[in-house]
Amino acid sequence: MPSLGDFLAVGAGLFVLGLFGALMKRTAVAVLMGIELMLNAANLNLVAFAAFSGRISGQIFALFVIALAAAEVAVGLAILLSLFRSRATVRMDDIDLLKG
Amino acid sequence: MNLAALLPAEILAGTALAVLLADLFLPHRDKAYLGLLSAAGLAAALGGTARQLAAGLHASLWGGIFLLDPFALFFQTIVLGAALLVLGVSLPYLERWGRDDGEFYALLLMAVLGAMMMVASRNFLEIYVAMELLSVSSYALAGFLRPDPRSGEAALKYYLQGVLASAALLYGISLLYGLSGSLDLSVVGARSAGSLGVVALVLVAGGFALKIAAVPFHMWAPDTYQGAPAPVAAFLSTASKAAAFAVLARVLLTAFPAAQGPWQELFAVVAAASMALGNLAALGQRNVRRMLAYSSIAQGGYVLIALAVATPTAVAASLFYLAVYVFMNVGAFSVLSFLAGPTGGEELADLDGLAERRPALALALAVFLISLAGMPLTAGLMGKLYLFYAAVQGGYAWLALWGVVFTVVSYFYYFRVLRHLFWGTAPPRPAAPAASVPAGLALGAATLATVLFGVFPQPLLQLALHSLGMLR
Amino acid sequence: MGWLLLAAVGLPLAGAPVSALLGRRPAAPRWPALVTSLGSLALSVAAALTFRGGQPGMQLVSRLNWIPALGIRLHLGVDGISLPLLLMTAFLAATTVLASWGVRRRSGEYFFWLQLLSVGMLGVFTALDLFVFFFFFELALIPMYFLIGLWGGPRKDYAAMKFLLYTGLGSIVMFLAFLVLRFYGGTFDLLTLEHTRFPVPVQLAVFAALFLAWAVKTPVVPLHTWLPDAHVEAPTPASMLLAGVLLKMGTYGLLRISLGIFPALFHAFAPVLAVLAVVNILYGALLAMAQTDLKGLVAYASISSMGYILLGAAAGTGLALEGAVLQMVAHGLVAALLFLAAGDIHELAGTRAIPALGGLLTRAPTLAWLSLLGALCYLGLPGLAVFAAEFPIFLGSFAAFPTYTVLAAAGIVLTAGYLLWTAQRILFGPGREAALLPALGGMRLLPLALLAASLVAVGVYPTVWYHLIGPAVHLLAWGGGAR
Repeated sequence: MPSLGDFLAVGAGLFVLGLFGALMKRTAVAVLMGIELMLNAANLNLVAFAAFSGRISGQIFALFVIALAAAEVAVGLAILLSLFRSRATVRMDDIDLLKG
Repeated sequence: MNLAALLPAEILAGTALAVLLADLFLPHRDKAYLGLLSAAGLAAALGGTARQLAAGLHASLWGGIFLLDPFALFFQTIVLGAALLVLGVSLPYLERWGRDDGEFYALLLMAVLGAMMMVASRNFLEIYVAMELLSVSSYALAGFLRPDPRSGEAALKYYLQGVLASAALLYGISLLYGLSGSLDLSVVGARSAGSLGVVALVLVAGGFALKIAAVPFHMWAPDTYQGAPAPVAAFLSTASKAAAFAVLARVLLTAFPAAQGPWQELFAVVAAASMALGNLAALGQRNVRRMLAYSSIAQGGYVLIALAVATPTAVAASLFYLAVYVFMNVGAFSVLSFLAGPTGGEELADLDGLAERRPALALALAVFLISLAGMPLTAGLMGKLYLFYAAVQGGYAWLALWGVVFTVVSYFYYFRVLRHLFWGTAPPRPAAPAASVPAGLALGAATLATVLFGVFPQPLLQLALHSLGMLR
Repeated sequence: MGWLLLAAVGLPLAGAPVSALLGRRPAAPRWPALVTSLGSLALSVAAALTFRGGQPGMQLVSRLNWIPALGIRLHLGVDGISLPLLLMTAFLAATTVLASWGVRRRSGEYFFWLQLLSVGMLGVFTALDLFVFFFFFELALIPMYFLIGLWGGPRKDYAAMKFLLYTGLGSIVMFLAFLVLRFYGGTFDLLTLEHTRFPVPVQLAVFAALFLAWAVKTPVVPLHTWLPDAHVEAPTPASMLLAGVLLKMGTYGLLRISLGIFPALFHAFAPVLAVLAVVNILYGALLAMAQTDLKGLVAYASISSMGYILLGAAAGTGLALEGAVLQMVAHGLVAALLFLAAGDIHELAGTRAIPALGGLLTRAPTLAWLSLLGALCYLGLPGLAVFAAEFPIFLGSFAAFPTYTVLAAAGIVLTAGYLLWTAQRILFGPGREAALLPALGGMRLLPLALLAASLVAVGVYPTVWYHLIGPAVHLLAWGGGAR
């Protein structure tokens, strides 16, 4: 069984990877995927801490997060779809009607 | 007892569900009733919360997950009040845009519910869940004018940055959980020292800072406030910001007492940056909505002074300021909502001569802008008085000087709007849409409150002082 | 009797919305304004009659709880220094309403702003709580912005915004200084703060910040650049109040607050102030000489005149300070008269350009004589108000700053030079103006005549004023040689 540190390292790695993907912003869907990575990194942390300290609250929290992440993604894709219908693009650089 | 204390929230939840259900069955022409139903629900919740606040309720619920203390109740009242004003204004607005479906009201109610629960939470899980409720509803609300691509863009930008922030927030919470073994704010507070704790602090604070539109997490605000429906922008810039501020304050003071020195300095910088960037960027804006967005960022900066100073006076000052800020900002966005047409209509030039065309609207907007600038006879001056005094008292006189200087900068763009309103020449224009009773009431109430608290601030100041509750 | 001052200050506040609501009928809104301004004047006179002269200290004090959370009280009162200013302000407010009698365009808004401005002006001179002082000080800015911007001349947008930003900066810095005083002194109450000791760094910082505020408002060269634009572009009645009252708020604050709370620092600063005063006097006079716009001339002349007040303040002898206070009143009256005359001339002749004017004496004799009276008063003709003020200033300042006083006297010569020259050009000689409109009717001449009468009244019998001003001044004076 890997140690707690290993889990945390993987989690941190996932977080950074996801952050990178989210900040690069090539397409909106890519950003969403990055964010999912970040959320699951947090989930990994929560479950790992819960498992290694014998507490259950982390696992419960992770369940909540899974459900909430699903809801979030649903809304995000709906927004994206609605935007796609009127703009026909998901490339972030093209979405620039609102400029200062 | 637990359920009874949360009655206002339950009313709100019930109304939201009722509206959603009814929306399925009602024919289109009766949709306005949904708005009234929502208003009734909001009013009932507001009444209940105000009663609790007046009675000095201080209840810990469900083993410490919720803490309904005066601090939470004050912010719940603010959020409910803002939502009620926004609802009044959105009734005619949605009709004009042909989007008066019940979903809007249900979403608004759920967003308010999320905000209410968020400020009353003492447990990170609840904070996260409630904030997600607020956020997700807000994303949908921002994109509500579906046919308009600008609304979709506003929603998308808010969404992408918002979920990023909440993911960061979540990761920070997970770190805190690891450090302290608990999700309760006060337990976390005792054990969150160390460098990992600092990382967690930054992540968590950043998550909330985005909702407050504080520099450097402010990038979504100008686009979203500009593209979203005007009532939604009003809601986001006031209720959402106030709720996030409340949670941030609570989290910082309860969960990170050990790191108080560092985060005070951090927020001093954030506040200063927000004041500077918001005011300077607003100078160049020709679109009034965008100008108001940057103005909101700056106003958020003023309020964040309270977190930099972190004395009881400062926190009370921020409570007062956020309360009157609701009136000013909802009012300002509301006036714009009356004017907006399908192709825009929110440039400075569009406001020319409004004082002659629609004097009541122009007067209201003038009052709100003068209040945002912080001039006498308006609540804005009293708010700034208290905030800047708290800064001087707390040893942050430089921050007060900074705020004062940028206040003068803001005179330029607020009074520029007044110039267009009062002495621009009005081009011939199609007939204005008919006045609407609920919107008129909302606007009138906001105007009256702004002037009233500008001349008699004492009652609200007193309330703010008494609402400090558990925060020292 | 405390309610007298409250009523005097608050009366226009009640009248303002009434005027605004009557906006639909262009000739109606001026009546509430007239009523409230005369009412305030009557109340101020009543206050003066109730005032026990010969005694230092504040009288007619009222203290209403306003914002207990910060210890702010609506603390009003007058003494020998502020009572004359209050009377002058109320008088000028009423005169300005008369001068605005012909305003028809957007008159509802016009008289709304005019009355709101009156509230601010009257409040400043009666305030004894620093926040209340700031409140009224700042309150006066908004109406002036609108008055300039809505009814002003060709460059009104620029002038209005410049006025707002400049004076706004000054007053907000003053606000911050007051907050610091509140923190270290525990209260906003002026009278209490006068007896409080502050740490020296705090004193220096606050004094500097306050001086910045007064310097913008007075104005002190080189912070004066907002004034010519504002004065020239503003509608005539607004210029009258701007020069007559608003500038005095700066010097009043200098005496009441800076000298009152930081006497030692003020004494130390006095030599610098004297230099600044002389710069104002000479620079203002020189630039006034170069003006071709009549209103511009009076604007720069005002900068010059404020220099005399500053000189008297810097000298610090009882005599000099008394003169300075009376000069505030005298200049207020005569500047208002000159601006009004300039406005009337502009209307009659269609231009304000001095080279294009001439022969006014034959075309509009009453206006011409009254203008001449104003000009003669301004350059210090004995028997008129300004002489009664400037003479004690010179007498009192000579002991403290002999060289500067001589330089200041040179300013008189310059002033006399350009005023007489301008008067000769405009009043005498063949008519040169392009068009000639009908002569001014009685109503238009009334405010002019009232102002002229006041100049004579003050000038011929200043003793009654000095009896009032003296005791209050002696609380502040520090130089040798009381009267």
